[in-house]
This record gives sequence, C-alpha cells and structure tokens, in this order.
Amino acid sequence: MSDSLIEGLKAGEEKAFRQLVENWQDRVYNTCWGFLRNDEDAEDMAQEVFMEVYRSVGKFEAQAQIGTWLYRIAVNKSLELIRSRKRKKRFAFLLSFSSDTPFTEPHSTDHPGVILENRERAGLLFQAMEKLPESQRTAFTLHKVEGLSYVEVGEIMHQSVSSVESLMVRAKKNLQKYLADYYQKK
Amino acid sequence: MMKNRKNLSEEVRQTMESLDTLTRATPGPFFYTRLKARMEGSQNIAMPLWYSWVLQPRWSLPVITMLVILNIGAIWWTQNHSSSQTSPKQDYLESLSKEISSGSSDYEPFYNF
Repeated sequence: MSDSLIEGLKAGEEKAFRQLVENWQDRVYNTCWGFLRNDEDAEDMAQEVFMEVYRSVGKFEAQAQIGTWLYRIAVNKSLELIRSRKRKKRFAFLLSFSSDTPFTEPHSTDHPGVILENRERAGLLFQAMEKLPESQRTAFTLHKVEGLSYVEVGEIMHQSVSSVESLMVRAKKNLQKYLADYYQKK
Repeated sequence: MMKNRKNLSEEVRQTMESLDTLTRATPGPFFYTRLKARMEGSQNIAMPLWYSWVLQPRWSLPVITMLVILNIGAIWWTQNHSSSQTSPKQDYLESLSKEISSGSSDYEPFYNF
C-alpha cells in the first residue's frame, strides 16, 4: 500500500478511498463472513469496517500495515456484534418490553467458497467454531477461513507467533472434541 | 467397537479438513456503490451524540427505572410527612378560614336595608 494512497485517504480523497475498498473488500468481507456466517451480516459488517476506516484514518500510523489495521477492525467489529447478540439473547425477555422488534437469531447460510461435497461438514465445523473462546476462534478463523499465516494472525491479534500456535493447537483440540461428541450422539 | 472408533476419528478428521479447500467469499457486485449510498444516508440522518443514548436500552432502562424509584420515594415521603406535620402556611390558612367563618353571622352587608 503506497504512502500516496494513505495520504490521499487522510486528505479525504474519494479516489483513494475507492481504491482501498476495491483492493480490500473481498478480504474484509470474507473475514466478517467467517465470524457472522451469513451474507447479509457479512455485507453490513464489511461496510461498517470501511466506514470506520473513513472516519478514523487520521489516527492511522504510517508505520503500521493498513491490512493489519483493516483485519483488526473487521475482527473487533464482528466480535462486538456477536457479543451484543449474545447479550440481547440473554435479556430478550426484558428487552421485549422496551423494543417493538423481538430478538431473532440470524439465519446461518453455507460459506459460498466451500465446495459442494464439503458443504455439510463445513457447516458443522463453522457451528463448532462458535463454541470456541474468542481468542481461539479469532486465530482459527483468520488462519483457516482467511488463509493468513501465523505471523499475520499474530500481528492482527497483538500476539507472538508461538502464542498463535498454542491458540491453534487448543482450538483444534476443542473442535475435535465437539465434533467427536456430535458424531457419537448422531 | 474398534471399527466404530476408527469411523468416528475419520469423520472428525474429514470435517476438520473441510475448510482446507475453501475459496474466499466475495460481496456481490457494486459493493462500493452500496457502501457510498450508506455513507451518504448515514450522514443525512446523523443523530446528535447527546441524544442518541436515549434510544439505547442499556442506558434508557436504568434511567427509567431510577426515575420510577425516585417517584415512588417522593410519593411515599410526601404522604408520610403531610399526615404528621402541618406547615406554617397551612396553619395560617386554617386560622384565617376559621376567622372568616366565625365572623360571618355578624356581618351585614351595607345594601341590606
């Protein structure tokens, strides 16, 4: 990412912003999809990520990688939405008094990038990923869904490579356990 | 039993590998146009910050609850205190009304010839 593009973004140039969006929209969208598991939420969240970038590009430090920054915003915003939905689900009864619209669980769909023969298994794996603790889920999603290296995941999560490795080992163990339980009960 | 365990671990292994061939999900065409429209829309209906908290249940609910509690407390306090004590203003009004009512029989209007 060239310095001139960042300067253009900071100056509020539309051309620069458009270029940033076109370069990064697929990666941001796919990352959001990995957490939110449906097209509508992923689109909404990807838009919010770029809106946040537009608002706060002035704070961006030139030494940092813009990709790391974008991924970080996408991860944080997606996790925030997941947390707020969990809270709403817990207090759904109480909220029904103050809100006209009742709380409804978002509908999950198949990841568009999964090959047909793997659809069912991938759906099951995505479902199991929801049960992981946040840090394990983030590392696993960034590595497996977005295809980032452990170094890149570490930069996004402010963690060392060995910490990411350890998160991945624990995530895989937990997922294997959830899946084994599922297949045993089936 | 042994076969079952083998099947189970094979199922788990295959499921764990189901994302290995994943290709990136992409947004629909004209993503930038939709994003721009949303940004322009949100600028038009931007709500002032001091007001936006009212619509968030996590802030408005405790405030409403506190107001209800304060109201109940105020009603309870006024009822308890008004029955046991009378204010100087009330005393004055009572004495004044007594004075008027006691003197009313002696009073004869000037037009009563």
